[in-house]
Amino acid sequence: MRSLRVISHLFRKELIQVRRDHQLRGMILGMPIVMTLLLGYAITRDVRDLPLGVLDYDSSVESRHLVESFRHNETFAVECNLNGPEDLRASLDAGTIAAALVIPARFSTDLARGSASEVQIILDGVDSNASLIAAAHARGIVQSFALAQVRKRLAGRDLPDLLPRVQVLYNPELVSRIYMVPGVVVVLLTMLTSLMTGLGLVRERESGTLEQLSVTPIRTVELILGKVLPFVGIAFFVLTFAIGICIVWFRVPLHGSIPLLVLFAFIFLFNTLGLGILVSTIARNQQQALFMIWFVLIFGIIMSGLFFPIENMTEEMQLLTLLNPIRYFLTVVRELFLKGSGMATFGTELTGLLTLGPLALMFAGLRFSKRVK
Amino acid sequence: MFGRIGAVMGKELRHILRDPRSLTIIVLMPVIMTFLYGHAMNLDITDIPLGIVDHDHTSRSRQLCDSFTGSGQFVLVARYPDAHAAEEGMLRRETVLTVVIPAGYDRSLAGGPSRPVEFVVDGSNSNTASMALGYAQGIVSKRAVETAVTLLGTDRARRSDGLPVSAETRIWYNPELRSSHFIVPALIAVILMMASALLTSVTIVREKETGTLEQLLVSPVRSGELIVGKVLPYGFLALLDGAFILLSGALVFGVPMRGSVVVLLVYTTFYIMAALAIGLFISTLFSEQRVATFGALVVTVLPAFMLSDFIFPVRSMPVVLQLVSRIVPATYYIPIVRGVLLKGSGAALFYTNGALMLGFMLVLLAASVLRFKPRLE
Repeated sequence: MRSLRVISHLFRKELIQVRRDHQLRGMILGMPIVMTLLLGYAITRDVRDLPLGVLDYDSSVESRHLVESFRHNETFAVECNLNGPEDLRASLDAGTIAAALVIPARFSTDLARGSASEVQIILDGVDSNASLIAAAHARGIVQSFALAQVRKRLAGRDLPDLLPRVQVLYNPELVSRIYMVPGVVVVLLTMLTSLMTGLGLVRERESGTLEQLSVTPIRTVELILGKVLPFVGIAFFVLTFAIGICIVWFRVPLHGSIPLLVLFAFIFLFNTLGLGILVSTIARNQQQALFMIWFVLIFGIIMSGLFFPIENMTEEMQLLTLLNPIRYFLTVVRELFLKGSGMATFGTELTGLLTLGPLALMFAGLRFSKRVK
Repeated sequence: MFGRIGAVMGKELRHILRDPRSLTIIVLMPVIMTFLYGHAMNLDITDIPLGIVDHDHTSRSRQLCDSFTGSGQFVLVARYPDAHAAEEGMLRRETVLTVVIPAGYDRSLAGGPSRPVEFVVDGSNSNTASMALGYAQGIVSKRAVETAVTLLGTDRARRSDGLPVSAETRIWYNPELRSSHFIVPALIAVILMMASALLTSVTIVREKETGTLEQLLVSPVRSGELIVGKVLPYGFLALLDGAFILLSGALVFGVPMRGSVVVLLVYTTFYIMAALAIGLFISTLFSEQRVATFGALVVTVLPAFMLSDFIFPVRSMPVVLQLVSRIVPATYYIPIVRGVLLKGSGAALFYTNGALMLGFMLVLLAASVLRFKPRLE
């Protein structure tokens, strides 16, 4: 009973402090907006409008047809006609084009005679991933062009429908936004809660008020709880905001259950609060705390699979990600948003979060109480 | 004048050396980042987990399965009895692509009623999905068309055995398609931005906070000299960091250096000057370290990371962000590092980029001087 009263007093004190700190308030309000905009609009790996140069040695009706089909594909944007191999190299070197289509001189003659013809597609491989996707699209374009030619030649006799049927689940239009935007929930929750806890505690240490509090009859546990609980409240405010943004602004549907998402968010909070408290025991001033949290979070986010699929990392890195709570929470959020998966598919994630969270919080709490005493 | 600048520089260097935490950030960060990011930021997609549902059970359907497993892009992880089970497997994240071969597939190839193969794709990661689809469509279409042409074709079609037009793709500059060659050079841009802009803005604000900046200003040191002296050590540190990344990139990831080091050095100096000017400008905006650090992170590091073609193509972003990316110096610097390292580009290609970075620096420098003077003297 007494504890509850103490904690609620501390809670009020903390809320008053947050309200009075303009810069902190700016951070709480400004960061979600910046992060949401960046994650929603900038984080895309879609390959679109790749500038394409055309080197057409044939300049026939057929070759222009082929160029047209590249023009109609949104992966490529036909940028210019090239004057020769030197022009091609110079343009790729300068980066004015990222791909080139070379049509040989005998293209239309070969087509008319029915012998095989080969066009060349040259890609700037600097962005390895984009050039792989572009190569696949280019081959697809040429393939359907070829198929149309076969159809024409079979004159009337129709080819049976042999091309594969494609059914894309969960994200039928294959836009990366749908995959990236739910990440907003994870990034915002992680950054805001750990930064605010860490900075809040370090500020009290800097100004010496933490020591004043520690000589009062307040116990360390009460102190930590009183300081941390307001941020849990703010975290749920942020969570609601982030989910709302995803659904209303970006029109990313949430297929799964909201209570499940909230439950996982709550478990996940142990980790970020733990990080905040831990950093507050190491950093001497707010600036150091900010640096530390920032770098831990950048690594955590890079190693979470948000931008880079974990499956593509090296073995050792993949093992390392098992210690990363952000990874588990991100998986849950994405699966809930995109697939509407149930609890049954989240066994690993639940175990991971339930092990790492309390451990982090306990370790941080122990260090903290030692520092206070 | 040089003596005074030197004195300020010496003082600043001592500050850096005495603060082990900042020093760690400056020295260790680039190494850790290069190592971790080089290994973790891998965008190459291989070994796509594949599921198969075979309702046909004929030699042709097995051949089709073999052409998937033998392609090198797919790894067979499960065979499912029906499409429903396959979908459940996808929900459990077992597979990214499942090929459903319908009963009658074999007969349809022999001229029977058409029974197309079906792909079920987990589209959640659009990138992986479109890559998987590209490979899979290539495999199936090739087989389908070959069979169709040989089985059904007239004499004219048979003569050309297969498709009349094919595409040969060639990949230049990075023929092995290594992600690290794409990422490590551009990482220099991000780390230089951190080391120069972030740290400069923070140290100047720190002097403001502690009041020592005013003490320095009443000393015989002129404000221009003070700025140069405070900023230069960070510029050198940034250059050192850059060299560090280049070296570890070459040693650990085999990133080539095809162009001239001198060209790279010159343009890198321009970039660092622009970055230092940003740091300086930020320091005139804020009066508190915590806010300056945060502001600097948001204004310098985030855009260098996200709005600069570092990993995310600016071309695919909305127009507003494309415009914003124009005022991010990294947008002009990243093509230079990549060009010099991977393509062996010469200096002439980048005159505009260099001029823009210098212009950027001059504008910000002027703005900072304007804001600096009335506030402190």
